[in-house]
Amino acid sequence: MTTGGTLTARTVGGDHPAIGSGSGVDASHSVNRNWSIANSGIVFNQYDLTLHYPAGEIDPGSDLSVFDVVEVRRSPTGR
Amino acid sequence: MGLTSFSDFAVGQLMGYPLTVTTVGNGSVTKNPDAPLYVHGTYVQLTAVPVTGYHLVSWSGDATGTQNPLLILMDRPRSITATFAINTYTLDVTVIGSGTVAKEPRPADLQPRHASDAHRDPVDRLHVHRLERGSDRQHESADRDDDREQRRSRQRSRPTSTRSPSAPVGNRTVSKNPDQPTYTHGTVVSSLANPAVGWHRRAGAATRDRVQNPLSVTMNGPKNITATFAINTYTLAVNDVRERHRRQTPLTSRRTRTARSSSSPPRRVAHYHLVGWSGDASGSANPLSVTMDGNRASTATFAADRFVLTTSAWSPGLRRPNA
Repeated sequence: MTTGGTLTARTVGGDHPAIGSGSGVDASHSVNRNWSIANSGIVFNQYDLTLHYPAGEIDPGSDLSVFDVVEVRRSPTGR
Repeated sequence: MGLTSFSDFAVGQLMGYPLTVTTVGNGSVTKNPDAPLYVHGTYVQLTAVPVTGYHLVSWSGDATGTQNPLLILMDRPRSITATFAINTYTLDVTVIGSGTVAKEPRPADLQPRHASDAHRDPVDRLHVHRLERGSDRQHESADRDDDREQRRSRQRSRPTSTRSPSAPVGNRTVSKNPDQPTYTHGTVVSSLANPAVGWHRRAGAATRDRVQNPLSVTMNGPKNITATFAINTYTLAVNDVRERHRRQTPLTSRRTRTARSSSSPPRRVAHYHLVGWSGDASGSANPLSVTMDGNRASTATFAADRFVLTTSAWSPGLRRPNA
């Protein structure tokens, strides 16, 4: 990190509204939750991200070995 | 400069997408990696491999252009077609010495004439049917007008005048069959060299191969063939025959020349005169011009000059006849 600032994170239950719009995540085999992180003034080159979710939010039949975290493009309205 | 903002995130199984590749024409496409499904975000390299003599025309479907190999991002199911087409090549014919290029069959016989045709060499419209030096053999041609034009040209050129080797008589062509602007891979083109009257096709200086005529060319790339024509050379043998008062074996001599044409003043010996020419010449013109369009042998016959000696006898007692 080269410049400090404020990082705001929040999470809500349910699939991201744009999960089916090219995110690459199979909405029927995913965690029914999404996360949003907003940056204010922080300049950085890399980051580590760990997301937690309860097991009950995982779609039945999902293969956890091939789960991945993907960035979902925000809708033009901001969500 | 690092990242300045974040976005939204989701967690789940990544989608797997099929990549369907089809081909049109003679060729194949390899996928690297090759898998039935590709995880979202995977890059796949497609390589088009045309059969020999074919080339990739373009990609179509979920890809465009002609780039090869082609890198595809699998962020959705994709279906891509590779279209191959047979190669076409040009066959340029160069004539050295004396010749032009004729179209056989001419494009005008196959399609409407274009304005650009007007720029072609006028000789381009003609056909020549004399195949070999010294031969009047003709080959089949549907172009009767050209045939007549060729005969007229030959008739005009036959007679007596001496011609420069750089100005051959008649028309000379190198024809291509089939005659097309381009040829597809594997096409065998027959190129027939037709020398002008008094000229012949010559083998390349670099080879001692026999002249192949017609020459078959297999089109597996752009080709340029050269037909080299050379002017014919002939011998001119001149015999001198001197007749004597007494019947004896004539005195003869023989000279051989190599020339296209020759003016042959007979060597006059004192007290002899030219009686006439025989063999491949006639008359008593002196000097005599011979057009060399073949081997020639002429004989100049001389005869000794004849003199009249008038004598008379008289005695002192008689008056002279004119006294």
